[in-house]
Amino acid sequence: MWRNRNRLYILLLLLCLFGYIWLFLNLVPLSGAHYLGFNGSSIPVFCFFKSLTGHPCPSCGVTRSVVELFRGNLLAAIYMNPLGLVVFLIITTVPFWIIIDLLTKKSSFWFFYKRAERWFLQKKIAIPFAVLIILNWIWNFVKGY
Amino acid sequence: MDAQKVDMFLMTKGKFFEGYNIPYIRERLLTADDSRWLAVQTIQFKDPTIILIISIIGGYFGIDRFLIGDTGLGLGKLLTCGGFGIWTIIDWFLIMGSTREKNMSMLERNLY
Repeated sequence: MWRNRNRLYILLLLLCLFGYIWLFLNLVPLSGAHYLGFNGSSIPVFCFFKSLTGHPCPSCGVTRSVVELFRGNLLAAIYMNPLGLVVFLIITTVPFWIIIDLLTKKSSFWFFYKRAERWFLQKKIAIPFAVLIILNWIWNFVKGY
Repeated sequence: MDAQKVDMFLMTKGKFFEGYNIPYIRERLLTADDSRWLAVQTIQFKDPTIILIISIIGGYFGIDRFLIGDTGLGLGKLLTCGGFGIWTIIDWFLIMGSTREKNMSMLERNLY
């Protein structure tokens, strides 16, 4: 159990770290960043799906949404992509929860994660969730990302 | 349980488990009660090959992880565009092992 717990914690911490680096690149105008495609208003497209097919994927617009949230524009964030709220919630709570867990040698996040996984597997939760994701995807098409 | 029954189980369902788990499964089944036989025999294991195909097609949206019950990681994959596409590719190599591990825990849940 400890091995699995530590693997999950490291994976999630790395994911959040990458998320923060990505956000930093998008929020702070660095000199030289425009070589990568960052030029103030637009950001580079790293989405395989979008570069391959030309159509948006369900999570297109999440970066823009989180950037708007950090600037305090809730409505604009929801318009960009409602999933941005979920990402914002995860990125602001999970790393701190994990670090507190590691410092106090507890596993409260691991148990919460396991319970959430089992909760998500229920049909009455999973099916509405999938429908919402697909509806959000259709909205992305309508918005013309 | 009968050694014959156990060997039949391992022959038909062996591909659902990691090779290093097989001796342990054999031992556990041999000591298990006979009344567990029907329950063990009728568990629906996930086929690693099918999951690999799903991973190649829909791994970008985390569908493979959702299917084997790793909903947390599936959600992570979905929200990050398949981890910028890198995670998707890594998972093509990891998903079969994860599926076999999930099958193992499913069997263990049914044995206790």
